[in-house]
Order: sequence, then structure tokens, then C-alpha cells
Amino acid sequence: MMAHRTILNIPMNRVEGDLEISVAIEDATVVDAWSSGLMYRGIENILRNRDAMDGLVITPRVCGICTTSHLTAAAMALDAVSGAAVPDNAIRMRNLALLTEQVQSDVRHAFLMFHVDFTNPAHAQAEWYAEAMHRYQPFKGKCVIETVRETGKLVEVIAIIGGQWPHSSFMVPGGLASAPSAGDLLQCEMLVRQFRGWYEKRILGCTIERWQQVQSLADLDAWLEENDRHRQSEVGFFLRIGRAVGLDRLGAGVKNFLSYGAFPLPGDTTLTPLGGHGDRLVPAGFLQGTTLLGFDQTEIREQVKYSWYEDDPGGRHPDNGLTRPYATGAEGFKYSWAKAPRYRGLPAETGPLAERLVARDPLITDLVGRLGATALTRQFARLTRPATMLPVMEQWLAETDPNGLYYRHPAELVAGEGYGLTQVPRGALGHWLRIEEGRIVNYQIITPTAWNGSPRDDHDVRGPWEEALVGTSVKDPANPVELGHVVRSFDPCLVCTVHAATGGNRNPRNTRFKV
Amino acid sequence: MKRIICIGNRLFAPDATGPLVYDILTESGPPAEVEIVDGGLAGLDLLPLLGNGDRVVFVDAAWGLADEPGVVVVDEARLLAASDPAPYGHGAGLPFLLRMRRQIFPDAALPEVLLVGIEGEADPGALREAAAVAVRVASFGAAPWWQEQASMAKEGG
Repeated sequence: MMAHRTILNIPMNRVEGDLEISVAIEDATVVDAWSSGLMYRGIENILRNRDAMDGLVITPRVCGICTTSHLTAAAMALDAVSGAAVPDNAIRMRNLALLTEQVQSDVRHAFLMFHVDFTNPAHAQAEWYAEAMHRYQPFKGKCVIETVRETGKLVEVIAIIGGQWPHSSFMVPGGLASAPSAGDLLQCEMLVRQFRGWYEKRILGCTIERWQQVQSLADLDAWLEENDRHRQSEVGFFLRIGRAVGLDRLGAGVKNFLSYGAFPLPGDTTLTPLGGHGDRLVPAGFLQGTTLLGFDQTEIREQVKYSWYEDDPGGRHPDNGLTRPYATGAEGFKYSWAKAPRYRGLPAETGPLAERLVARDPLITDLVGRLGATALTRQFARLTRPATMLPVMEQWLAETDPNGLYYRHPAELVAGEGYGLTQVPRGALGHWLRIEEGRIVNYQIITPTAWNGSPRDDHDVRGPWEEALVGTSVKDPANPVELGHVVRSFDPCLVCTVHAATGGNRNPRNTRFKV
Repeated sequence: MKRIICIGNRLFAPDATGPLVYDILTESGPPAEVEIVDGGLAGLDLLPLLGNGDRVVFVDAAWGLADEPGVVVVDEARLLAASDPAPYGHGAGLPFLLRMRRQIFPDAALPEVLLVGIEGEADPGALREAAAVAVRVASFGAAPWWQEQASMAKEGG
């Protein structure tokens, strides 16, 4: 039978910006997939010829969700160019802000986006459906309301550290633009402690200390059966319905995992790197199958054979990256505004699952070893990541000295190259920067979604979630909820499209509001 | 407390109305009792700003909220009626915030919410007018402006 290619408009409106997934289905199974980012971003070209410091203000506006992530990468790139020695207290505050963004994003993605698919009518006959509606129904679900309330309080930590909200640009080369007071730190401690209390009660159903004893699939199954609090917690409910839905059989992906590493360790901290090595809390690495390799950023290339840019065979390292849009002349062949980043020529998945595998997290490593990298393990890694990070946030707050140093004047930003690589909510984020005569001559950004949602590369190899979709059974092409489970397990985030307050009767393509 | 929150993306011209009005407001020096916020693309993170105060005025580009190009002022009910009740997405915005805030602040006396938008091209004249209207409706509410518009339309007609 010939494969019947179906353009499926799966409801990717819960993705930032425009994303269109096209799949070929044969015998109710996806046999091929194409991921198209439908909006040109052009931030790299906007930044060209601007003042060296402008990236601190402009790049946080790449995205309305990950502003602190981009600010962090931009500041790190400028630190590198200027040779800045960031003081320990400033490192802690930068890390704390980024961790705040990560933790709130992990929870919001779960209960405002991923778990919403459990309320899809496709699951209406399931015995757990009424409970899923009670928890995740948009605007009304108990967990939805609590998530908006609790994450809204937590992000006040960034407002306190940044001194401005939203779109703070408080990180500067050399440290922070301002120092928190003792009162600020106490407020942050209270906010993190409150959030931790809610996370333990509602998400885990146990203390973080108890959760940290869960180090294998066997431990996890025993934990699940231990008591009703565990079973009824969000993690427990997710495990039960995720298995019932078959998430553990969906979305295998490319089996290469990338982490840039994140959260530089202050010189005087008592915390040690996850995984036991390196100078950052979260280690960098590339996991090819089960082989963990060191990470070398010079091995990155961005290829554009299938992207709407001028052809450039072999691709380029971002140091020499080009962003030359070319949307004509290859219709039907090129199909995405996203480039195709590759590491050592290979596609790579990034995100919490990759990050925790590279860190050799015992629970995640055991789960993936036994169950594989699937939509279930991918979402589980995200949902439980705050259990690792909340105690880190508390510890760094406790170590911070309000009377300490938060800024060391760096060298003038006249000329040089640098990069800022970090892990952010959706995975590996990199900013590469070259400055001449105090002006930006090259700025390249590779976002986590560029890795995960990339189109095919020069060797016609699919990107990670394109590959993860292949093999997925689709019961109802009119409501392909299975494809939503797979793609959303990567927490896709394309850049904001045109939005405006609308009555919905002028421009049918833009019927959403935005902030 | 009155608050004006300018929203949009200054890097994308069709969506830059809010940020450009923000620039005008900060340069001109608004009344002391009105707080001006660069809301940018902050989305759900603006929720804490909707839980207190007397009145919040959003400034944004507008599509389909008026029959003619120019500045338009709409209230919360009209805004919600005109919007798609879509669930949360990274692009979710004002309607999502408005729908959620009564759930998030169930016992609070919530501020009145208004939107000042520019329908059609946001040229310099329209931007200046929107800035002035935003300050006016933040200070005095929308009713006087609506009455004035109705009178002008009657005289014009």
C-alpha cells in the first residue's frame, strides 16, 4: 500500500509560535514526519552592528517564556569576551534566577500543556478520565488553578533579584547590576520554601527527602504502591495514566542526548556537581546510545539543506554562522525556518531527560535502560526535576551573603569572541558572539527547540521529534492525540508569532490574543 | 493604584504598538499615581499585576475590535466575548489571564481591566493618541472617553 501523506493540524496552539507537523500514515501508523517552524525569527540579523551590550536587552525578548534563560546565555557570552570573573554571590543569584524559571516552567508545562491532553475526548472512555478532567480541565482543573497560583508566586524570586519585572536585564558582564538586601533574600527563601511545600504535597505526595530514596524502576514501583498519597499525587497519577495511555511505547527519538551543562558552582559552595564531575552543578556531555562522551562545542554545526536559508553544504559552526533567509526557489523541498543543529554530525535530543541522563541520575538512567527514552520517561524526567533543584535553590540562598560582592568590573568590550552555553527549561541553549570595535558583528543563537524540532539535515536525517513520531499508531486521524503526546513530551517552544488583541473577524490566521 | 501595562514585541513591527506607547509614556512622564509597566511578552507572569489596584489598562495592537482604524477602548467583558477561550499556550495572553485571575484571586477586590488598542496602522499620531488615552482612562475610567466618542460620532453623522 502506498503511504498516504496526511497533513495533520494537530493542536499545536499550546506551542509558542507556529509549528506544523506533517506526517505520512500507513496502516494507521506514522511512517514519516516533517516538522516545520513557520515563522522567521531573524534575531541574529537584528543584533548585527549593534552595541556589544545590546544582547542583554534584546535576546531576553526572543521568547516570552524563557527571558531569564536568554539573559543568562547573553551575559555568559559577554563574560567570556570581557574575561569577567563573576563573584560567587552573583553566580548564586544568576543560578537562582535561572533555576526559578526552570522550575516554574517544568510545572507549568506539565499541567497547563502536557497533561491537558489527558482531557482529550479520545480518552473519554477511560476509567481515569473524570479524575483527569477534575485535575486538568483548562481554566477549571484543580491542578491548573493551583499551578498558575503557585508558579506565579515563585517567579517573584526573579522580580526580587532583578529589581524589575517583567523582562529584567539584571545580569551584566562581571555579575549583577544590583545587589539583593538581606530582606530580599529572606523573601526569596520564603517563596522557595512555600513552593517546595506545595510541590511536595501535590506533585510528589511525599517529602523530597523520601523521593530522593527512589533510585530505580523497582524503587519507583514500590513507592507508587506504598500508600494512597503517592498514588494520588501528580507523579503517581501520571505514572498510572501514562502507562494506561501507552506513553511508555511512544516517542523513542534519536537516542542521542545532549547537555551543555549549567549552573557554575561558586568557589565556596558546599554543593557538588550532579554526576560527580565538572565545575557546574549540571554536567555537560553527549550521550550516544549508552556511551557518554565529553562535550566540545566546536563539534556543533547548523545545516540548512531543508531550511529556508541559502544553501550552505556541510553547515557552519555558530562562530561563523550565517542567517540568510531564502524562501523561494525550493518550494516543496525546504520546509522549516528552523535550522538543523547537529553534534558530531548527529541529531541530538536535549531537555530534562537528556540532562539527567548525561548527569547519570540513577533513577532516570535505570528507567531509560529498562523502558527506553519515551514520552513517559521524557515527561517524568521533567515533572520530577524540581525535586532535585528546589533543595539546590534553598542551599544557594542560605549561602548568599547580602554584604558580599556582586560585581567585578570587567575589561572593556572592544573586540573578541565568546559564547554562553547553559541548560534552560527545554534543554541546551547557546549564544555565540563576536565583537569588533565595540559592535556586534556576529550573534548566533541555537535554542533547545532548534535541536529537538529540527528539520532534516544535509544527510537527510530527521530531527529528534520527527524521528520520535515515526512508528506512532494513530487511532483517529481527525483527533491524533498520540502525536500531541509525543511532540509535547519534548516541551516544544517556537518563537512568538504575530499576536494582537482581536475580535477574530479580520485576520483568520491570527485569532489568538497574546501577551 | 492605577497601572498601564504595555504589551507586545518591539522587535516585530506589527506587534510593537504596546512597547512604542510605553516609550512615549516614559519619556513624557505620566501622572505620579499611574504606574507604567513594560509588559513585553511576559504572558502568564503578568498575573501578579492583575490581583491588586483600582484599574489596569493594557495597551496593545488591536485587530477586529473596531470598524474604523484608530484608537479603541474596550472593557474586560467585551475583550473576553471577542476572544477564543483557548487553553494555555506559550502564546496565551490577556484573555487567558483574565479568565484565570478570578480563580487565582477568588476573594480579592480585583481591579477593573480595560484595553487601549490601535486598530490598523500604528503611525506616530495614533501612538501618541493611544498614550494620551491610556493615561486618561487609567485615571478616570473609560466612560468619559466612550461618551465623548459617541458625541463626536453623532455630530459627525
